[in-house]
Formats: sequence, C-alpha cells, structure tokens
Amino acid sequence: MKNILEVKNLSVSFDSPAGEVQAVRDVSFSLQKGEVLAIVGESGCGKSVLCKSIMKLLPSSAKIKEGSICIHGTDITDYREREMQRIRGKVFSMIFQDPMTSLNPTIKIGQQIAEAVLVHDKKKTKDQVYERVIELMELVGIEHPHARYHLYPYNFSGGMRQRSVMAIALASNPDILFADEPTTALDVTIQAQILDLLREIQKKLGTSTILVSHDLGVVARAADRVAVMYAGKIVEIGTAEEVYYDPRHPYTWGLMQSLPAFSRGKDRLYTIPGMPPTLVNPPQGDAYACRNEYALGIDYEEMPPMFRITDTHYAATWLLDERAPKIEPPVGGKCFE
Amino acid sequence: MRKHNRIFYYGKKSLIFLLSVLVLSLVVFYVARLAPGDPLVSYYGDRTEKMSPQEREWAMEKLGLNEPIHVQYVKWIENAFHGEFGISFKYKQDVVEVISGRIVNTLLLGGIGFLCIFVGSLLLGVFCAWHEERLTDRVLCRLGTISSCIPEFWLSLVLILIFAVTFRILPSSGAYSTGKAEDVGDRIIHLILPLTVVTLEHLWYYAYMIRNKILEEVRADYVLLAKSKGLPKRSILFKHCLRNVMPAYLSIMAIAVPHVLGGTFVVESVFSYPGIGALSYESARYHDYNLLMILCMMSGILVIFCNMLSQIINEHIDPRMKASEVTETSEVKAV
Amino acid sequence: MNKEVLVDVKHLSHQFHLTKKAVIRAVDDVSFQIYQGEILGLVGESGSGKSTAARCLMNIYHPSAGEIRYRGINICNKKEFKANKKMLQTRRQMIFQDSSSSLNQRMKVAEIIGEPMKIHHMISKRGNYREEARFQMKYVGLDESFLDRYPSELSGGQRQRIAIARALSMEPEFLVADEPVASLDVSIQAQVINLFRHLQEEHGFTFLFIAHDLAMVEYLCDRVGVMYHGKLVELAPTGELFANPRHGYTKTLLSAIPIPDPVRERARKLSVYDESDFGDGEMEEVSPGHFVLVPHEGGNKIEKA
Repeated sequence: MKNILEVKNLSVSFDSPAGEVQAVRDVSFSLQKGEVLAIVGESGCGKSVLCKSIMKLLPSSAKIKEGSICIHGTDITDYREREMQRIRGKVFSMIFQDPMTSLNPTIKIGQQIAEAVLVHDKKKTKDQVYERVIELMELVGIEHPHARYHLYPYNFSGGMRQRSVMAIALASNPDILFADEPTTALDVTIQAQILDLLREIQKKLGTSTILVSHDLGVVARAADRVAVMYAGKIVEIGTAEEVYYDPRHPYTWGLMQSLPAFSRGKDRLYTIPGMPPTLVNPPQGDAYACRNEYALGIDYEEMPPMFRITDTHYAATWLLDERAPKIEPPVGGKCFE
Repeated sequence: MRKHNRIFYYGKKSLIFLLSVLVLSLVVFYVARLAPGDPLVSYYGDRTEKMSPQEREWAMEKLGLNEPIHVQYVKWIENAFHGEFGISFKYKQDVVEVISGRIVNTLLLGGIGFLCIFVGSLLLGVFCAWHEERLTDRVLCRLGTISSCIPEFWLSLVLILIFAVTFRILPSSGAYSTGKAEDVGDRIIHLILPLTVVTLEHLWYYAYMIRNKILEEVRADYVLLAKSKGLPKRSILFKHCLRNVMPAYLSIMAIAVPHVLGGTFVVESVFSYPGIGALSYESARYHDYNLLMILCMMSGILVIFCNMLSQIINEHIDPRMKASEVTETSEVKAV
Repeated sequence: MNKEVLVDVKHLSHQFHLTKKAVIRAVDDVSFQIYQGEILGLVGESGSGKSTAARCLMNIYHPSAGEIRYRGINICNKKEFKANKKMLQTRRQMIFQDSSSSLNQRMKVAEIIGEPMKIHHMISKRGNYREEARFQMKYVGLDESFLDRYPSELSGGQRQRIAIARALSMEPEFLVADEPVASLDVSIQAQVINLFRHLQEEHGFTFLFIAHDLAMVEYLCDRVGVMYHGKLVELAPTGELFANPRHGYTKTLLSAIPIPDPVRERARKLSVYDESDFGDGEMEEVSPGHFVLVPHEGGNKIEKA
C-alpha cells in the first residue's frame, strides 16, 4: 500500500488577541489509498483545523509553524495560493458540516456542480459538462437529476444538499476527500445513508477519505482506521477494531463511556469531568491529565510519546510505559453486545 | 394562475403609488399655502406694496388665490389631469415651459453623476474587498471616510478656487458659455466640476457598503466549498460573492437616486448651474405656488417610484425570495 | 394511571400558509397528555412538526384547531389565557436548541439569568437578582466565576446550562426543551442530559424533551412520542417502545441508532420507511399505555406538503 498523504510533525497556530493559539500540535499520520481514516474528538480539539490546514483553507491569521505535508511524495507545505488552487478539487476536496450554508443559495445546483467540473478541465464542451454533472448526481444518489439540475439549494432537503455537496467535491475525481462532520446537521435516518454513500464512493472510485466527527457511534460505520485527537494532538490511532475493542488512552475510554449506549441500564450517563484546556497556553505534560482519573505523576510533567501497541496501533499515554501500574480499562472488548 | 397573481401584484403596487402621489400633492398644496408671505410679490414685484385693497382682491382673483384652499386644490387637480399646471408667478410663463428649459441640465448632471457613482462604487468596493486589510484597502478606506466628511458646498468652493480662480482651466459657473448653448464640448467642460463634487460626495458611502457586503459573503461557508473545489479567488469573488450582493446593491441604488438628486440641488446653487435645484429654492422663497407644486410633485414621484422599484428588485431578483413558487413546480417535475 | 395530568393536548393542528394555495400541515390532529413529574420525549425527523407542537404548547403559535389544557386551563382561549397569564408565563419555560443565538451576546451571564425576573417584577427570594443568579448557577452545576462573563466566552455545554438556569429562575414546573443537545458534542450532551435527569428526579420538574436522536431519548425519557409528517404515529413508555415498536416509521428510527461497534455497525442494515402504513387514522391502544396510529381502512394516504 502506498501512502497518498503523509503528515509529519505538523503544528498550526493562530494569532489571537489572547496570544498564540496552538490549535494543532505535533501531529503525524499517513493516509493510504482507498482507506477511510476517522478523526474523533471534542469540538475545539483541532480536528477541523488539521483538515483545513492541509488544504490551506485557514484564514491568514493561521500559520503552519512546523512539520511537513506530503502528497504522493511531493512536499506541499510551502505551496502558495496559486499552486494550491491547481491541486484543490483535483487532489483533495472537502465537504462541510452544514449543507444548508455550504451551497451558494442563489445559484442552481446543477450550475454549482458544473462549475466544479469545469475548474480543472476547461476544454469540456457544454454537453460534456452537462453529462458529467448528471453522472455525478447519479453517483451520489440524487434521483431525477435532469429535473433537479435546475433547482436551487432551498428546494432540497438537508440530505439532498449534502449529496450535492459531495457531487461538487467529487467532480474532479480527487484522491483525498475531507469530510468535516458531514452528518452532524442531518436527521438520524439520513446520517447512515450519507455514511454508506461515503463508503460506497470510496469503494467505487478508490478515494481516500478523512472523516471528522465528534461521535464514535457515527464513525464506527464508515472508518477503517480511527485517530483520536485531544488538545491539538493525536492521542491514539489504530484500526477501527483496535480502537473500539482495545482502546488504550484514557481519553478514548472517556469518549466511549459518554455514549448513551454504554450507560444503558445505569442511573447516570458518564461524563468526562472538567473541560478541554485552552490552547493558548497548553499545559506542560499530558493535556488530558487533569481530567484523567488514571493520571500518573509523570503525566503532569512530561508529554507522553506515542507508544507502539501493534504495527498499526499507537497511543500516547504513560500508562503504556512498562513501569506504569496495570489498569483494567473500563471499556473495550465487545462491550455493547 | 401565476400570471394573474403578477397582474394583481403590479395592480396593487400601482394603486399604492397613485394614492401616495395624491396624498403628497395634498400635503404640499396645503403646507405651501399655509406658509407666511405674500404670493403677489412674486408676480407684481414692488408694485404690491402700493396696491389698494380693491386692486389686491382683483389680483388675487386673477391668480385664483381668493378661494378657500380646498376649492383651489380641487381646481388644481382638475387642471393637472388635463396637463395644465398653471403659470409661474415669477416667470409669467407656463410652468412646464419654465421647467423644460432647465430639466435637461439637471438630468445631465444627476444622471451622469449617478452612473459615475454606480459604476465607481462597485469597482472601488470590489477592489477594496479584494485587497482586504492590505495597505491599498486601508489607505482607500481612510481617504473615503475623509471624502464623505467634507461638506458639498465647501468642496465646491475649494475646487472653484483651484481650477477656476488659480489655474483658470475650468469655468466656475453656468452650464455653458454665453452664445454657446449648442456646443457639446463647452457643456462638458462646464459639467466637470459639479460632477466631481456630486460623485465624490456619494461615492464612498456606496463603495464601502459594497466592500463590507462582499466581505460578509466571503466569510460564508459556501466560499469555503468553492475554494476547496479549486476555484480561483477571482471566480469566487465575481461569480459567487458579487452575484449574491447584487440584488441588495441594486435595491439600495434605486433608493439612492433621489439622494443623488438632492445632492445636485446644493451643487447647482453653488455653481450657479441653471437646473431644477435652483428653481425649487426660488419657487419656495417667492411663493410661486404652481412652480413649487410641480417641482415637489416631480421629486416626490421620483422618490416614491424609486422606493417601489427597490422593493420590487428585492422581491424579484433574488431567487431565494421565490422559494415557494419553485417548490410547487419541482414537485410537478419530480412526479 | 393515577398520575395527575399536567398538559392535555387534544386534536391539536397547526398549519402554515406558504402562499394562498400551498398549506403545510405542520401538526395534524395530535393528542397526548403529559403527566406531572415525567419526561415526555418527542422524536421525529426535521419538519415532522415536533417543534411546532412544542411552540403551540408555549403559546408562541396559536393552533389552527384543537385545544391545549394546562392544569385544566384552556390556553388557546384568549380569555382564559389572559386571566391566568402570569401563572402560565412563569410556570412554563422553554429551552432552545442553539444556545449561542438564544442568549444575548452582549449581556453578562448574571444579567441573562436575572432578566426574566426583572421583566415579571418578581421579588427574588435571595435578596437581589445577582444572588438569585448565583443560586441558579450552582443549581445547574456552574462555577460562580462565570457570573461576569459573556456567553461567547463559554463552551456550548456551559451556555446551554445558562439557558436552563435562566428558565429555572422563574421557578417553573414545566419545561419544554427543543433539541437542547443537538448542537453539542456527545460528551457534553451527557452533561446536559444528566442535569435534566437530576432536575426531574430531585426537584420534580416536568419536561417535554424534543430530539431527533433516539439514543439520548432512550436514556432520559419516561415516555416517548414519535412524530412523522405532522402526525403522532406512536406513543409508548420508553422501554416498551424500544422493545416492541409497532409503527413502521418507529422501526426505521430505531434501526438508525448507530452502535459504537465497528463490526456490528457495518453489518447493520438500514431500513427505509415506505409510508404504506401511513395516513389519517385513529390512535389505538395495543397494550397498556402503548398507542399506535392505525390508518383508516382505505383512508387517504399522505399528501406531501
């Protein structure tokens, strides 16, 4: 398997009146062809910023401080806006949380897709573009594409809009698709349909997908691999089975426990105590330590490195150090059966 | 079915329009006559003071001023429907003739001024939005704020001082040099200074509005999607943002028409430019009732019309407003 | 059942007129009761009329037909409403979905919580409004130090608690929560849900809880009503509904709950509701407390709005 995307030691910061916000801190991961990598974490943990910084969609107050982003082995870290324009849409594209606002309300759906088709292939004739748009609309499961071509976004339901956004994102056959909370704003019954569509497209076109979500339940359906982010860092990464059945980081435990499915039959839902730290001055040591009931003394002093559990499974917690006390994880195994 | 609705819609609008115009005429008519002063002065000049009461009464009757106001009003309305607006007391001519000699000048100044503002502010606004928060944008923003703080009459005087008095390259007053009424070039030269003042006074206000509206659009989510599909900044700005801003801009520009015209009135009097503005001022001062009526009615109708136009633009250009209509058709198509 | 009925909704209908011809029947002949001290959940997809029904209950909309009785007072009747206005406006409170827009961004937390009392000229039991705000903050589990902050400085979960504290300051007995957790992270949702649970159990509040996420509803609610295209299609105690769903749409909704287990979740089949058993009909009691909408034989099928 070849790595399509390789991110190494990436750090991204924002300038804000309160000081420098370290939104992404020293993140490394790679994405293989045709796989779905889910990035999970609470809001404000930097998962969205991570995606946008790879696509360079962040406002000018954000800067890549360190690290490198390689696509197909080419380093794009220093690419300027003009070079980015050439690869956006073609190499990677993105879909967003709220399909209500991510389409231009005054342009017909068909034209918005056509625009995306034309960006990287200006030689196409009108008929070819129209055909391609219809083909894309069929690909994402929009019925009656010929009639719907001429409709405006407000004629569409939320699920239909998200499908249209996907058609736009897929117009130039990108290698990587970033999906930033694509189902959060949708009805439960539609959520699974969109996730299945993501999967289906990834199988059909071989697109690699990075799926961002705060909900481990949603991610389970679509992800091959899962990365858990906390306070700008990836704290655990592994295949879906490894992370769900054998989670190692206390934060992953916390996230799993706070799902209502875990508290079935209990009096109270589990909540992670405290709040995520502000990223203006992130704490020294493990950022999760102050919310972690299993925290060790060293957690407050030194940042834990990524410990290897298997070839695919890594976690950043001192609990995995051989000197640490053995703790029975509160979740894991097939606990939901 | 929809066609009927549209006829009904425009019918309703026209009715409101006529009603507003009628109310306007009534108010202007009454207020003008209630204002203190002697209307005979404008017709007879100094002779008025020496008139005997009998002569006065005769003069009033001749001008149709001796009857109660409401009777006068009804008469005026009747005549107005026949296209007769009476004579001007001061010029002793049919008011229509008095105005027709001057309206071209005002339309020229106001019309060209409006076009300059319309195009100029659009370009300036887009330019500033493109260079958001960069040096050019900041400098232009400061300059613009200063320009809209300068009062019109002061700017006019300064320009006259510089270009007419010191350098003697441009004329300081009038619409054309004596004897050159037909010379287009001469008219253009006379227009330059007043036009500059009219344009500069309004330009920034609308340019700044366009700039901010575009920047508001740029922050919208759909711009992020447009960017991520690889569209260059130029396309995003022109095809997406500007397009969404245009309905609002057009409707505001429709309201701006009377504003710009009001601006020309002041400029006209400073540059002694023979237009409607100076005429309105005179007619109000000398109780030239018939002239005042027609001038007020003209600008009033313009204001009401422009406001309605802006409303209609708002309701009809933006496809979002047509949501319910299209939903019905989409259902039909889908079945 | 020997429980006291707090809210009695009978044949409630509400329509929105889009144009002269297009009418959306947002709520269509819905009847249910809310008992004192229970949490009733109302679930359904967006546009199913659950929020509209809740707003009718709060007198935000005036229903087109039907009646709503609150403690026996017909609140749709203007005379009766006026006679009991003060009681109705303080006893019933609402919490909205988006806490960032339902709180005034330019007011401090203490002012936000104290404002409803100021409006109703209520005398605070604790001396002044600030003390009252302090008390309510403690009540919903927030630190006092937030009193002088602005909503924008708080997290989504904290803001939602401020909204709850504001509602509680009126000393209500009935709270309508319109998707209070939909815009929050899963881990924060749990905090707010626990707070609701606590308020019900310890302080006896009655809730109408509106959600589209069945997972939270299962945990929180005593009874659940399922709405679909303006109609209440099923109403049952929570355990009963999750164990024996009768209506096709309920089954679809239940099958859509994600399971946090990759292997089983991937294998889970989606069922799509085909609308064949939907139409005008009567609620029938299939087992004690479990009602299902049974369409008339050959009754008119749903017309799309």
